[in-house]
This record gives sequence, structure tokens and C-alpha cells, in this order.
Amino acid sequence: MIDRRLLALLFMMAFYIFYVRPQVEESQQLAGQNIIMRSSIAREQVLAEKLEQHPEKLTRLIEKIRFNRSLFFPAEMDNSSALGKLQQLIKQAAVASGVELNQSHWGEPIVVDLLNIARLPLSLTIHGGAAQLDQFRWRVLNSGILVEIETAQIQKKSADNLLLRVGLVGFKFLRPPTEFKDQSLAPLQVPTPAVKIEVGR
Amino acid sequence: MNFRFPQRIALWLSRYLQVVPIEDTYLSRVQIAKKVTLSPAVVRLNYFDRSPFTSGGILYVRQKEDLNLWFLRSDNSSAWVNIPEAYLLYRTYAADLEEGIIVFPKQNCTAYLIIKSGKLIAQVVVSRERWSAEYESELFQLLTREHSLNQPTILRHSSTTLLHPDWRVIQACLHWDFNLSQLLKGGFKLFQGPLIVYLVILSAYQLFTLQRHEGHHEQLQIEQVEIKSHNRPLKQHYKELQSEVNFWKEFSRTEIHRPNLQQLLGVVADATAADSGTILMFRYAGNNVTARIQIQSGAAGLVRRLLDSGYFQQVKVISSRQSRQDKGLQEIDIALQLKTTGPAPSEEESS
Repeated sequence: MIDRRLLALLFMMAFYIFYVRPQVEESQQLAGQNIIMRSSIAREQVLAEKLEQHPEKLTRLIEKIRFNRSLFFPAEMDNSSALGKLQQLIKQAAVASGVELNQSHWGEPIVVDLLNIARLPLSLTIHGGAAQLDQFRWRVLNSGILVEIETAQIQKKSADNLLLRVGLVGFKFLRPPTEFKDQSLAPLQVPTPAVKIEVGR
Repeated sequence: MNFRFPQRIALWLSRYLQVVPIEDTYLSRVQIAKKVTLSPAVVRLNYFDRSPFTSGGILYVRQKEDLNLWFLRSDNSSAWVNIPEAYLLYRTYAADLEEGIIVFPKQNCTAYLIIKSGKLIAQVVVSRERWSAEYESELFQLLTREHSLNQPTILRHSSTTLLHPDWRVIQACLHWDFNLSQLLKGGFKLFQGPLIVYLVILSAYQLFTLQRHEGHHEQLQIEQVEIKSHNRPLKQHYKELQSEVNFWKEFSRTEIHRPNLQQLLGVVADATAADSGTILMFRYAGNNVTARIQIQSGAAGLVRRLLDSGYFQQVKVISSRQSRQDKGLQEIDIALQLKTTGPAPSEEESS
């Protein structure tokens, strides 16, 4: 007759080997996963703290980016319209500053696909006094559109008559840039009107 | 060397040792081969038929090829080691005796041990009722003849003090009846209970640990999902911003390289005015500036002043000629190359 204690021992051994032991392996795997998950959560928490630490900085950055974007002609506008608009702004600046705009030529737009922009060249010939030309230059650069003066030639014609030949470039987006969705993080504010490329300078 | 245990240890050992009185034993001697391995079971099987008693046990002591067997009147001893009194007396008093008869008077009897060639060869017990001096004298003669003793030494001990066996005696009388399977079975039985308890506790602990880990795992999963869903828009936002910042950096690096026209003109004008000169023409494209300047003296001073301004990397005089309008003035064509690194004019200054 088999001893009851022996039977109990055999039962316990079978229970341990076939039921508990596989679960122990599962438990060890879970423990390992828990450690990984804890470290992952800790990393995410640190990241969240970092991202949320200076929201005003992000807001300022977004304001600057939005302002910089506003200095470009939008992607929806075709090249001819953009060049026409640029020419119109130049004319307005010329009239306002009292210079004589003699010639204005459109150049061939250059696509810079890598940067998602098109360069819109425009060449001008202007006559005027030194102060008027300086005012014209100031008005062009503060017209609300980013204008890059690529070439410039100033020639003295008479005592108060200077000839200015200038090659300008305006910029237009090829495709609309990504909009910032989270408005709470990036409240749109009207920036001070000044031509400033804040990023990267 | 005859090692003896200290008194205390000997007393403690005596709980597990029992000296079987000489009157309850019967000594028999046999010769055995050296290679034969003995055990209590083997001895009982082979030699119990020599016993004068119908029951009882056997004690034996082996001395090389001699085997001394003590048959016991009864076998009700519970001690671990049973030592025949005759052997204990022999080892205590006659271990060095070559040939002789040793007499040990006891309370109810007198014991005689016969020693020959240094070995215990026989024992005789005479009860108190039968003992007399004449009987003893006749017994000596009988034993001398019987065992072919030659003028044996008669040693008479009157001491009946309790004897403590030394280690050699115990060793000689200690016979292991070692059975591995029995030992394992016994050990297994002994550990069954604790093993069951251990397995129950271990299983409970490990199942509890698993439950705990599962609970933690679920909680961590929830936490991870929460923090990830919280961070996802932030990360996306950050990624978009980073991409935008990279765009403006790249745009600024590749597209925005205009010099500060006003400042540039100012630098050239200052260098010209120092010599009461006039700028007739000023042209720039990229990093290159060309200018026609009308000055009174030679070009050397102008070049030095332009280089000292720190704006130009290179100043080159292309041509120099006398002015047509004013013969006292010089018209100089110069080419200037702007420094790529240096006091770069800022946008704010230009605006």
C-alpha cells in the first residue's frame, strides 16, 4: 500500500513541475518586461517634462516660424501672380520714396525643390537721390515680403542723381508647409512688422 | 597507543554502548581467510549453529585471521554497540600478556580468560556456589592441559570497578550493517514531510509572485499607454518644429547671403572721404564689390583703409587714371572681396 505522505509528495511534485514551474518562467518574463516598461515610462516622463517645461519658448518659436512663412508668397499663388505682386510692391515703394522706376524685368523663376521654394527674380533700374534711394531700399526690405538683394549697382549721374540697378529675388512656397495643429501650444499673435529671419542667424 | 576518551565523553558514550556480562556469553573461535568481508548478517548465517543457546545474538571481534564469536544468551539490547565483557577485560588488562590465565572475581561468579600467543583463546565462568580453591587449582591444571599452555602466568584481578572501553575496543566491536537502499528509503521517508511543506510554500510564493507581476504588468501597460498617448502629440509637434527649424536654418544658409548694403556703402564711403574722394560707381554681386572712386592722392592709402575696416578679404586695384574733368584727381577702379566670416552685417542693421 502506498504511503499517503508519499502520495501527497508525488502530487505536490507533479503540481509544481507541471503547473507552477511553467508559470514561474512566465513570471520571470513578465518581471523582465516590467523592468523594460518601467524604464520606457521613465523616459517618456522625462521627455514630457522637457517638452512641457518651457511652453512659452515653443510658442515664441512658432510665432517666429509663422511670421517667417508670411514673408513668402503662398504656394497657392502661381509664379506669374507672385512676380506681379512683387513688382506691384516695388512700384508702391518707389512711388512712396519718390524715386523714378525706369525699368522692371521679370526673370525666370528657379525651383529649389529640396527646400520647397521657388526663387522669383526681378531686375530694376531706378533713378533718384541718395536719401530717396535709401528710403526706397528700406521700404522694399520692409514691404512684408522677404526680398533678397542679389546684385546692386549704384552710379553717380550728377550731384544729386544716382542710378541704381538692382537684382531682387522674392520667395514662394512650392507646396503649402505643414500647419501646426495644436493651437493651445501655439497661439497666433501678430508680430512686430520687421523683416527678420530669426531662425538660423 | 591506547587512546582513552575523557571521563565525560566516556560517560556520554556509555549511553550508546553496552558491555554484555561475561556470564551471559559463550566464546567460540574460528579461523577465516583474510579477504573475507564480514557483516553481522553474514556471521549469523554462517556461525549461529555453533551457539549453545537456541536464540540470542552474536557478537564478534576479528583479529586478522582469527574470529572470536560471543554467542549471547538473549538479544534484547537496544544499544548501538555491544561489547563482550571478556574482550573488554582482555584489552584492558591482558593486551600485553603472551601466555597466561587471568582471573576476574565477580559478584556472582569468577571469570577466567585464557591467553595464548597474545590472543584470547577461551573464557571460563565458574559460579560462586561451585567455586573453591581446590576447584580452581584443578581448573588451572585442566586449562593448561587443554590449551597446551607452558607454565602460564596466573594474573588475579580483584578490581570490579566499572571499565570504560577505549576507542579501539569500540572500533573492534562496531559493525556497520550498511544497506544503501534501506538508508535511502529511510532518508526519503525522513524528508517527505519537510519536502511537502517546502513545495507547498514554494508553490504558494511563486504563484503569489506571478500574481503580483501580472498586476504590475497591467498597471504599467495602462501607465505606458497613458504617457505615450499624452506624449504623442507633443512629440509630433516637436518633430514638426524641429523639421521647420531645420528648414529655416538651411534656407538661411543657402539663400540669405546679402551684405548690409548701407553699411557696406558706409565703409567704402568712409575710406573714400578720408581722402576727400567721391564714389562714382558702386556695384556688388554675391561677395564681390566693384567700385570707381575719385580721390586726390594715390590708391595705397585707400587700399589700406579698406583692408583695415575688416570687411574685406581682398582689395584689388584694377585700374588707376587721371580724371578727365579734374586733372588733380585720380579715378581708381577697385575690386573688393567680402569676408565670408567676419563682422557679418545683421538684418536688423539693414532694415
